[in-house]
Amino acid sequence: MFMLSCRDVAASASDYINRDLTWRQRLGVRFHLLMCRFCHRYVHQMRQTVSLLGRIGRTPPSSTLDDPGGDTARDLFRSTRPR
Amino acid sequence: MSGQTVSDDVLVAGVLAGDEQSFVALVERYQRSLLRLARHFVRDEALAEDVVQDTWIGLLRGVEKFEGRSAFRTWLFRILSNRAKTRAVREARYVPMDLQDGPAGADDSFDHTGTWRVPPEEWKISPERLLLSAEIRSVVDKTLAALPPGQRAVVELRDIDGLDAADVRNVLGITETNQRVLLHRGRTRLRAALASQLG
Repeated sequence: MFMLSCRDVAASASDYINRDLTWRQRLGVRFHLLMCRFCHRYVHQMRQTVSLLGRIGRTPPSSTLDDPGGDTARDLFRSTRPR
Repeated sequence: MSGQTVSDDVLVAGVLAGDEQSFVALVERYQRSLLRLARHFVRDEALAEDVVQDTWIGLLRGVEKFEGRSAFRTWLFRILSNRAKTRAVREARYVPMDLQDGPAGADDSFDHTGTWRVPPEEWKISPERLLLSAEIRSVVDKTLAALPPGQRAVVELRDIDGLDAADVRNVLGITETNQRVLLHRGRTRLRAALASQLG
């Protein structure tokens, strides 16, 4: 089996997390991760980074934001209603 | 306020039924994401806000055409993408987003055999605490702002806004390969920025 280097695995980390690799490619990465704690750590940190970004996206806006949006939203809604 | 989140489909049904509060809820849910995307198409903040308003008006006028074949969020982002390009060209303020990215710089993290020269260190803070730190949030915000536009757009749409790869390709008009490269490079920079704080 073609042995991947740490550089290869790091370059594939994003695709690996997204499951965008072929079955064979994925197997090569997993095999390497079993043997290399540094790459295992790197991929884990990449997952944590992606997870953190996702949580930022799901965090509601602060109270200083967007209440003008609420009034504007109501105005927009009413302006498009049939008279 | 209920701890449960009302789904987009329920809110869309509410808007169709003439419920104003459903529309307000959608605005609250997506306003920030839409502004963030609009800023990638037009560099003028006031125009970006107009584009987002155009998008909401477009939604209200066309909501009965939403057939649910894609996620509502995807449909909404596509409306914005179309409105942004139309408006920006009309106002001669269209700066095509640089989505091509340059060649990757030399990576000295690895030696000539491809082995780590300086291996990644353990992060000293637990994942659960990551989001609680204003300092970490500041690092993420600053790093995102400093990313090349293409990398930033893809990371925001995929990882913050949760769109899938096909939707991001459609919204930004880029190829699969381009999308994957931009995402990889953006995530790599963000991981490195976090590592400098947490390692």
